[in-house]
Amino acid sequence: MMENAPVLILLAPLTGALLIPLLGFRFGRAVTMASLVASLFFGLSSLAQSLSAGPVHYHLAGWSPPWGIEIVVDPLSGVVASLVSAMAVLAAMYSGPFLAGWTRRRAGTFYSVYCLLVSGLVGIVITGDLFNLYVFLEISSLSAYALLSTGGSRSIVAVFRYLLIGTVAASFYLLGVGYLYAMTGTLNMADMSARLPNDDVAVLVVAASFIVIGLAIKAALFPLHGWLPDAYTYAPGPVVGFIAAVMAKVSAYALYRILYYVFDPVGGPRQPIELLGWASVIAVVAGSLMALAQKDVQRMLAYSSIGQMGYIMLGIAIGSPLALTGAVLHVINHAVMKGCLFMAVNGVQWKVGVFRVREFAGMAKRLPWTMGAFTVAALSMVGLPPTAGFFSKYYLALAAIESGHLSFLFALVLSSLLGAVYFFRVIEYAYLKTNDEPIEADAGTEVRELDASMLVPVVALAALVLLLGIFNQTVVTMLVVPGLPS
Amino acid sequence: MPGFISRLSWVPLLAALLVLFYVARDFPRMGDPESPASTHVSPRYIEDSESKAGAPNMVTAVLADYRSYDTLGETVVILTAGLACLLVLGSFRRTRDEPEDAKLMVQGFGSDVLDATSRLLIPFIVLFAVYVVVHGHTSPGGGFQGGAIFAAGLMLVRLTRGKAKGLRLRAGVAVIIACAGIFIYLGTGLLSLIRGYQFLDYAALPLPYEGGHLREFGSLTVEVGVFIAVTAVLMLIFDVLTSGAEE
Amino acid sequence: MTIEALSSVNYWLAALLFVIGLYGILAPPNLVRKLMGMNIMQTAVIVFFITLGYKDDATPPIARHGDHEPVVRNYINPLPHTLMLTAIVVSVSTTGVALALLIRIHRRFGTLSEPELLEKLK
Repeated sequence: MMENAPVLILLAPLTGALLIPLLGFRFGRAVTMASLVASLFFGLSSLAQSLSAGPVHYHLAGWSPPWGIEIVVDPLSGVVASLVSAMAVLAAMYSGPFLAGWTRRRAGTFYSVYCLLVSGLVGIVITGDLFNLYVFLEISSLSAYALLSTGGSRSIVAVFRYLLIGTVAASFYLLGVGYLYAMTGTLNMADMSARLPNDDVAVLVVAASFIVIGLAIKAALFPLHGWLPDAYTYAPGPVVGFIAAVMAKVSAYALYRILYYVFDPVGGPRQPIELLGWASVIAVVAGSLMALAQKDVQRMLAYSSIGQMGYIMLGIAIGSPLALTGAVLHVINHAVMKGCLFMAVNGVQWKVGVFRVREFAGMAKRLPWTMGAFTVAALSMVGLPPTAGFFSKYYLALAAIESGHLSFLFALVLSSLLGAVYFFRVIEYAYLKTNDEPIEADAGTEVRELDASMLVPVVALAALVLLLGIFNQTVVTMLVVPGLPS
Repeated sequence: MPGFISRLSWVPLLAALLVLFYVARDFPRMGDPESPASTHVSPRYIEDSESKAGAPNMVTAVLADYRSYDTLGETVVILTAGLACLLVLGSFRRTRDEPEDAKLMVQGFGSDVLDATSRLLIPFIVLFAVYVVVHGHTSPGGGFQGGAIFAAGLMLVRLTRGKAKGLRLRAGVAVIIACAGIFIYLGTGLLSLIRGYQFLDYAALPLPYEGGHLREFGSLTVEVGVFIAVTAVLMLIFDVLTSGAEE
Repeated sequence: MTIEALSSVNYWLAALLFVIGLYGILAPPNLVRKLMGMNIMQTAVIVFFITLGYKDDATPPIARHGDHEPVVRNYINPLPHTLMLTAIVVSVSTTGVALALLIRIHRRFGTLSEPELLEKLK
């Protein structure tokens, strides 16, 4: 049974998604939680296996690659897949109160699509075939469009734009894969990396550029980030934490995988990687500047995410072991931090109905645990030790210095300072300003705190932020370093 | 997008087009039998599809056997689209003035000529759809193609007779049928897992056949699952788009 | 132009369709036109892949009746066709979801023109 763990990581949420309608759209949340926990379990066990015995290859349908499709779980994909499942479990827990008033069929459909989203994302992470990645990319994209569209009429327009841009991105990616197929005749990642010509053929540069553009759009890299602010701002409560934490990062992971495992980072086309580097620097600064200008907290977090994706892309572009360590560490850290922040803010919006910075006045008294978690995550975003955020920025800064690109270092420092400004602004309002009006819930009783099912994930993530920071050294040596390209 | 960006967008696009034209010369000549795509990986598909995968139709062999994992993903894509349409338009409350075409969809065109012609056509369409699925191993065809044709036949009923008198298919039921179809696909794969093989390895199926013949039955089973799923989802999308799902 | 350059015509056609589709997404203000542009882009990729599979003087990839040992040279490459079946299904699915979104936008806002929509959203 356990030797099938790699494929079961994906099959668990897929089965859950199919089971919910077959059970008459009942038990949506229970089936979702069960299948996601199972997925996490299989993900962790595959990860453990890859750490002890080397990357796990699973040949589907019994055919060996390149004639069949294979799943590859190495330490990196194991970590990312487990991260996706873990965030999915917490978000499923968090989603309960939001769907309370929905009809049974609509809630069941929602949970089913949510499971499909997770299976799509996991499928992207563990696949070893370039076309298979496209299929799962589309599964995750379509389910994301569906889930995001439930956020009200503003979200519909945002989602349509996201759909157009996302499909353009997928088409760019597919065309790039087509170019590579024309030159090599194979779709398997390992086989292709062996068969790509080493010199700087023009076709390879164009193919790499297409793939980079396609995945960079999905990862919301500046200037291709246009779809993200509206999509995240109007996203419905139940999924915003998960999508904001995980979706763009999976595309960044796919980009990393292709640039370093399919293309040869040293001998292959350099131009797309350099372009990526400069775009990331601009993203880091621009994201922070734009976040500063926002009055709506959720929109501020969305622009902050654009800057943070810039950090990850910067690490990928620099490419040294230090830089890649920082990038992978930041993938983990940022998913946890941003997930916590979005869930906290959404919880405030749900309970109290506010979304502007000014309206957060005195929030700490009313929702102490929520704002406490928000503060911890915010400090981590700014980069204060011993929170997790400090360490990933530390590695990236070291990498920037080592590579001699001082402009990168400058961008990192500047964005951290800006981050301090806009996060502390919220904290200041929450803790230091007072608001004398008592907020009443519908029943007339005073609002004390978020519901347990919403609070537990928020606090758990904040605790994880601290743990990842304190045990940072262990995380790096045990999980991140084994996953770097040798 | 701001007006001037949209109007000037043809400039960078033209530049991109010229770059693509220039790059095209590095590709192998179209039709070259020695191109990388024609000499690596695909020869095995051509040579072995009948003997090892049991299907003279090499495209079906690759689709339903060698790359069956992709096809599972593809079927999940179409299911996701159906569920997405349901989420987007499902709980929609009708506006005060129903558009003319919505009334049309409920009543149908109601013409006697259409009615008579479709009565002649639909049985053949349905039969052809089933033929396309079952015969997909030896002639062009397969689950998706058959499902689309079947759905077209059902849509013809809808168009002539309207939703009221045409076949009733509630949205919830359509989803359940689609999930059942994909479950057939998934179940075949899980059966292989339970019997100790890799996921979707048809060699594991407990049928009294050997080699290519055995795998042929595996492919057929998954194609039937795909057929059911595609028909249900296409009808679901059609219903949701034309008149909004019933709550 | 040399005969050699002319053999790239299929790649040029795919590139032209792709760029036309991209222009269709960027330039027109009407959302339905943008959707059509997206479809054209996807079709361009499909055309590109299909032309990769062609071989001179070869037949479609179905083993002829009685031909139990197919010679590779005589049959075109089945792999791009398989991949593009998947791509077509993805295209149909995306178009379906996009149309559902458009219907909802139209019923809620009464317009399908992007500038007007942005005005109404302010």
